[in-house]
Amino acid sequence: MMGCDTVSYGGRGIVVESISAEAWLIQRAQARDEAAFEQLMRLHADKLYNYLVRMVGNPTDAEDLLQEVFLRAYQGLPSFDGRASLSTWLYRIATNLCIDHQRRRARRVTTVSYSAQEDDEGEPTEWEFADPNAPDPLEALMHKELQQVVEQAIQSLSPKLRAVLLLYDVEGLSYEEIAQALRIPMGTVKSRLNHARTQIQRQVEAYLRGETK
Amino acid sequence: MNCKQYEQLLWAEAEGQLSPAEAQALQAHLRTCVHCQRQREVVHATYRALSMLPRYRAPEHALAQVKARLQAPAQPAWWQRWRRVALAPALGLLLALGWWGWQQHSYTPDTPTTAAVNETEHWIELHQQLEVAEWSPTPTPDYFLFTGHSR
Repeated sequence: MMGCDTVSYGGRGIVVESISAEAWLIQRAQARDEAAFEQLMRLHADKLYNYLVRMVGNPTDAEDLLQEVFLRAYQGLPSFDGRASLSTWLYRIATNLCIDHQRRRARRVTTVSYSAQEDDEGEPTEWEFADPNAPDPLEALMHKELQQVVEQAIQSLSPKLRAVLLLYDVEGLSYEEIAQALRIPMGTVKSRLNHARTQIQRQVEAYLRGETK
Repeated sequence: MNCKQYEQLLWAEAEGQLSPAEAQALQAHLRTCVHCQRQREVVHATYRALSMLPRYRAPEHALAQVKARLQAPAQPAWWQRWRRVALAPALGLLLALGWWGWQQHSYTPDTPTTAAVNETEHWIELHQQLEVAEWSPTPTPDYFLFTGHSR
């Protein structure tokens, strides 16, 4: 996304004409301009929330973490040097918070089972459904089932593998951006991606062979 | 190249990142390998499902809450720094007070209460009666006359 002349962020009616516009917003936010920081939040909120929901496995915790990401970003913004993009920096904060969250959850040893895809009434919530381009209802149903298999497979990954897979395959970051966000070598990014994809692939294969639902 | 290496190319193919030479090599392999043909279907289905996962949208109220928290009056810097240091003695004091309160609550006086005295006397008396009964298994009429006990 960096290097584009025009960057459009749909959905909330915000259009940043260029990367320099974001840089200007960052400068204003560093000078404690809350309106500028709010604009930055709106630019990055959906991407971060989408990442957080799949990292922690439920929307409620993801919402708390999203708030925490922005509060920490606001506190740390004066020291943000712009070497990495703001987006990468925010993903780093989000990933660190997710790992802390995971540790706390492991310590509590809760056995709450929660599906990331359904609310209490079993209905999908807060989704923005992508068009599967499948006019055939049966094909559309299979596509939805396959997505559920993939969602479950993502949740079964370790947090380290999950972070890399989500950042690359879902959020569309480059190897380099992921390496910066997670502070790991690019070779490790590739290796983790390979492992994560193999695990997902196995579960999809089992589904396609009819071994699972 | 073995099948495992060709599987890596399958992901690159799904992403559209194969060089022409790699694409040619992969196609040649796929014509002869049924295993990799099946894996190709799996990889492409997985890639499609991953890239078309529905996207969550951040709840508006979450951003409003961040904004409200940013606008809330900040605590003084000295308090931020010292609040943890101040917490330890405060907790210690609370614990000490709690212990003292518990000690006061569970304190029992040395002098027995009237009810306890009455009960003790009752048992002593009963004991004495039993002793007398033991010494005189078949009490004579004199026993009842002198002790005042009745049958």
